[in-house]
Amino acid sequence: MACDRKQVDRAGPNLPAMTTPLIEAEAHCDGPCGVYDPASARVAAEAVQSMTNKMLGHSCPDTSDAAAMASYLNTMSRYAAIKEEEAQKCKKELLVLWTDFFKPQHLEANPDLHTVFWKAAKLCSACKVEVSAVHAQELMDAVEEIHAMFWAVKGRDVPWIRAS
Amino acid sequence: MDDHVRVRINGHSMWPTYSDQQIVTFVLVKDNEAIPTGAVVLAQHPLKPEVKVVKRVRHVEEDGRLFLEGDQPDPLGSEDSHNFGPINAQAVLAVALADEQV
Repeated sequence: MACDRKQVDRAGPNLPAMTTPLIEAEAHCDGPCGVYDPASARVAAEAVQSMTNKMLGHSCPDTSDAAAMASYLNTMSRYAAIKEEEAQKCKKELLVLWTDFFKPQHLEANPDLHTVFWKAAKLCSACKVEVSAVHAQELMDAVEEIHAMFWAVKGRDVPWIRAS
Repeated sequence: MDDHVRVRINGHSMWPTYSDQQIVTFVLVKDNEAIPTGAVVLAQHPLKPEVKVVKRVRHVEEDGRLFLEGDQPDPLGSEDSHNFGPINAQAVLAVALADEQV
């Protein structure tokens, strides 16, 4: 028995008798969770920018004041550590979107998708290594571009927002 | 033509052959009809009774079971026999009309 004809006929919606049955069939990827959102990358990129700006704006105390220097170095170390951690997190979130969410068919509408992600990932690395307000802003701009591509693919109008 | 059915494709796993929401005509298979390698089939999902899937027969196992695969080139883009294993030929309900395939 290769086919249960009644089973097929029952599968379609209630169509007129003279109409060819319409069957719904799945052709999904059915990933582990299917939940993706560029907001995770955006929050991490904002943290990178915040830490970068704090480092650039933090005044150096009198180097002969041991207590002040200890506090200064401690604060700067913490800023640097958080900046590096969030930059790495941002890169990871971007790579998940790039390699898991986006599929080859999305290149049709976004032919520069690979270039955008590649540059964004490079900016994450640059922001880890440097204390650059310029690169931190460029990372935010890149994440915003990815935000726009992502929600266009999903067919939803989701405005770009910042938490800070 | 009463052995024809129309099938709406939900999802991208058969891209670029079929796009999401494309309606494709299938021909119901007959009893004991051999399903050739390369055919696009409408089949009962082996693990989800309420779900029917559209996939391509990549090869036929030695025991006669069919190994199904999506056309989507992305390795994460299709849930198929790589996930649920080969299926029994009896699970195939219909075969896509060849001239509608790209």
